[in-house]
Amino acid sequence: MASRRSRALDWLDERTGVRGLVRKQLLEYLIPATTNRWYSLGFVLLVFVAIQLVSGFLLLFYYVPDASLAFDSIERIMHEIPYGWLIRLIHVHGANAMVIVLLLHMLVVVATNAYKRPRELHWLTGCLLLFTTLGLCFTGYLLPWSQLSFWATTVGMRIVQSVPYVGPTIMEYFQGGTVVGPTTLGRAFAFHASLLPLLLLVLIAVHIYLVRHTGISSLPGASPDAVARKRRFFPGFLLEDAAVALGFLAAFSGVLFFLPHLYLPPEAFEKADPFTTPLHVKPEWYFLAQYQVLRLVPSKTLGILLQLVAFAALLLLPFLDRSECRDPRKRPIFLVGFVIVVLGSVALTLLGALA
Amino acid sequence: MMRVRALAGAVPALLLATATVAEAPQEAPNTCIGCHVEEEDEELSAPVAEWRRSVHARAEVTCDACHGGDPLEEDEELSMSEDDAGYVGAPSWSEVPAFCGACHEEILEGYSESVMAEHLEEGERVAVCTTCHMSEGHAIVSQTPREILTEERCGECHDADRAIALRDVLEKTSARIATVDQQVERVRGRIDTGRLDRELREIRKRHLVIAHTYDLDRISEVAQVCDERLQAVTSQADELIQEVRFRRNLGGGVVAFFIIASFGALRLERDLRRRAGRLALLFALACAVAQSSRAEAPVAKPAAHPGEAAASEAGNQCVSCHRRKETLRVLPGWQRDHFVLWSRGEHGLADVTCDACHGGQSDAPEKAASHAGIRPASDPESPVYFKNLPRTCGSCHEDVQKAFVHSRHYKELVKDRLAPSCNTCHGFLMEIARPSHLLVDSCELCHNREPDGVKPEIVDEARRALDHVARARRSIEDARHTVEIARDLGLETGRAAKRLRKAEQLLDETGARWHSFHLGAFESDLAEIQAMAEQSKNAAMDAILTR
Amino acid sequence: MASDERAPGHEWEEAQLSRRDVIGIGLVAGVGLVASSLPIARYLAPSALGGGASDAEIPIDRLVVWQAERVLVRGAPIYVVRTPDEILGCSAICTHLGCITRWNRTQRIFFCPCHGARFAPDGRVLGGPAPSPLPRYEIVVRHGKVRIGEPT
Repeated sequence: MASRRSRALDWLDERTGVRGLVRKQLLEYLIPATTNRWYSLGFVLLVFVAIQLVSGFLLLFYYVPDASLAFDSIERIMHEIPYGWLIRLIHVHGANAMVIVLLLHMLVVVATNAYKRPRELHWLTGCLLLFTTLGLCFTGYLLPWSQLSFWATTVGMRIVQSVPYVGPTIMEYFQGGTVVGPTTLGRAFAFHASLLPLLLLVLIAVHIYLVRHTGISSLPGASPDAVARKRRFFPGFLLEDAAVALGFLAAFSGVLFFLPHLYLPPEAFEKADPFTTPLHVKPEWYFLAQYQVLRLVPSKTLGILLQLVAFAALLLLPFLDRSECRDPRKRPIFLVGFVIVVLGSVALTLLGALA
Repeated sequence: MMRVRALAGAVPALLLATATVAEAPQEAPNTCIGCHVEEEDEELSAPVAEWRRSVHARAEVTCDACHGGDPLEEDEELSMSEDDAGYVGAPSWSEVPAFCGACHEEILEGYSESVMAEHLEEGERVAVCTTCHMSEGHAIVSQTPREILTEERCGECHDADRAIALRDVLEKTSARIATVDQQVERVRGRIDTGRLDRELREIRKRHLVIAHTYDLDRISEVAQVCDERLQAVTSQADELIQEVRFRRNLGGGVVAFFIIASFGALRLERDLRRRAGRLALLFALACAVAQSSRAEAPVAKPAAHPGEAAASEAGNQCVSCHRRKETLRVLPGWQRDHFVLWSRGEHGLADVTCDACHGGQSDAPEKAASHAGIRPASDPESPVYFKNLPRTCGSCHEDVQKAFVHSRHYKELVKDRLAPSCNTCHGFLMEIARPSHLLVDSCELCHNREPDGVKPEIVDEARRALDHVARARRSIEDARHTVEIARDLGLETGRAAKRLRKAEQLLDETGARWHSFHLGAFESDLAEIQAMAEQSKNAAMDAILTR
Repeated sequence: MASDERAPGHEWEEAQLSRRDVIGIGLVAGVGLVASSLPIARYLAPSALGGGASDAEIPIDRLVVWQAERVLVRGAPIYVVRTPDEILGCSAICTHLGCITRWNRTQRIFFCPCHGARFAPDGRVLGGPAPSPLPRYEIVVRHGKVRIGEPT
């Protein structure tokens, strides 16, 4: 049928090859039949990245990145602009949700040993994505210029300062001075609204390309028959992805509407005052584990070095764990190590929160 | 797995451990408290316990904040040294206002405008901060005007009336502030109440400051202003409460939408799988090799093949290519089976070739030209797409199609619901045309006791119906036999033969009639055939017996 | 599920989305998109709050008789003129081509330097190329304060 729709498609196809592209990349894209719901976390992350990009862009309409105006512009957004409160809360909650889902995603990848050959580069880009996301969280935190922003950033910068040799220089370059001030705000804004989002998108593109190139990993311990069997990505698995994402969005909305100030203690509603330190200042929850390590370890340098070693170990995990076996049930040492690291991080975070 | 379970048990244990280790924040180490707590003299040790109950303790305002001294110094003399540690000690009566006013500056301002301050300067012993606020020693707690301005306390120097008048005005404002604060409390934590909180703090401050002037006229004036401001705060708080309600309703709607959409997506995916499953079943059946016992099931004889190509196997290019060994070797397994099953099945034996159902050019020797126009069975436009099969098969098997379109199965099929098409029961290549047990097995694909099965009792009814067909057939055989004997004996068989022919004709039609899947009507038809056969046989028998 | 028990190679047989499925998904996605675009549209809408500063209340003492005070109300330039009898407020934007008018104290008129349009203190056109009078603004005097309200 030479319907109008197929003729329009023909026009487009001649110039872009869109039909072949859609067929090959979407309709005929096959994935292992052993994929389950946990595999959808990547898609959920994409959804949250999109939410952050859109809400962040919308906030840019009314937010003013100047130290004397920033706090008031946020107040305006929260009180005067119609639905400004919603856009801002989406951005705040979305950032935290993204970190949670990102950590879950990494947990699943480590638990299923999916960083092994040939997927080492996935892991590397993934770790870089984690660092970029945390960078976005850290820079974004300062932008409202509230007591919480100011002092959490000051405390965070003090940690950076403790890095031997290069710490103080990095700190001063980032702060634009010896203390956190209006210059810092400008720099944080530049990172948060321009460089880091671009970096994030580039890394995501590379990550997805790599995943498509090597194929999605199958569940460890699945029989070879099950592994060889394939299913269509579209529409079946995409619908499963969508269902999981919608479930996460339901939970996210629940927290946003019924616990709106979960991440906004009273200090978040007071303008930054460099002369008054609020009583219990600490960084946001995703940095608490590291913060707690630094508080527990007597020597600051040792603490920082431990952190750096931990980061390096995380990055180089696929090169440190080279065994072929991917099933964690058959690898007791790995399993014990994994559980210790996870529980340890949770415990450190809790300690940091309660102290 | 046991290891995993054991480790899983470690989780709550570890969490408990961290919880007990990180208890509520401890007091910071303080030598003032450390020493004074152990003093035997009550006067020196009591303040610690009192202080711990006070608002100062909660605000972490320790001894040294007011009395000076070094709270980290162990040595008593150094810790309480005036020169080294700024130790001030307990103030004298007249020094009290300045002492407290070091932090509570504005209250001190208010107090210094009062008559009491004047008297204090003249050296008289009037009420100072400690008179009203330190009735329980260092246990300074938040009190209402009613609790502070008691008749006993003020009555020591003044007449009770003045105190009562002051107390009433102050109490009214105090109570009003508390009420409005409670109202704002309803939404604190759910919406930013910063502006209202600041305003309330301002109002309270003004109220407290003016209270310490003990000037009834000024206090009354300020009380009025505070009232007006509190009125504004109340109405703003009401607006906030409405806004919070709106946001919660909105939130409820959003969460509900996402939950419903999530389940919808899951259902759709399950639906797709089920539809795919149906298609898979076709393959499963096609791979079941047909048994060809022919006598049991009714045969649906097709009309004459329209446009029967009469192409022998040599002339039909589809067949001649697909039967070659080289072709069969490169075809996927199921396409190989396809050809073999066709050639051994009814259609193959009847020379109904590929193009009759699939289309294509059967006279073109090259692959591209001969496959032109052929679509895969998954394509909704293909003549062998499962929904199009009734029409395709019906182009030859007209009676069957005519009956099928009246059936519930067909109605469900066109509505995209779970329903069989021709190949569901007859196999992908119609090789299961005959044996009834295989046919009825396919009934069980849907008519079963599974969660989404329907009418499981149908299967037994269908088997019974097919048994009745077999019985009818046997009856007809019997009748035919009897009529032949009668004819051989030269007897009059006209009526019996006519009846027999009618029965045979009806039996032929049952093949098609079955496909309307009205078991009730089918059974009554069979009963009629049975009756007719028996009548025919009886008639012939009568003739023989009454010869 | 039966779909998992197929021999490899049969993937292409997996069921496609029917038209009804696509409509269903489209409806849900459409509802979601529309519902989320409504708050965003209101968020982005050029607001009644205006893009600019607002000086909508001035003390009456600032106004000298037969002098025009320039005021910004929600970003719009307004002249407030005090005559012996009343206080008038009208837009400072000439209705001809949009230049900002000036107040002539001697002649007690607004005139536009671009093409010479002339307006009375209450906005009426007195001469020149202006096609229509200057829009007037509501003036309310209360408690010694002059409040400039909506355009009339």
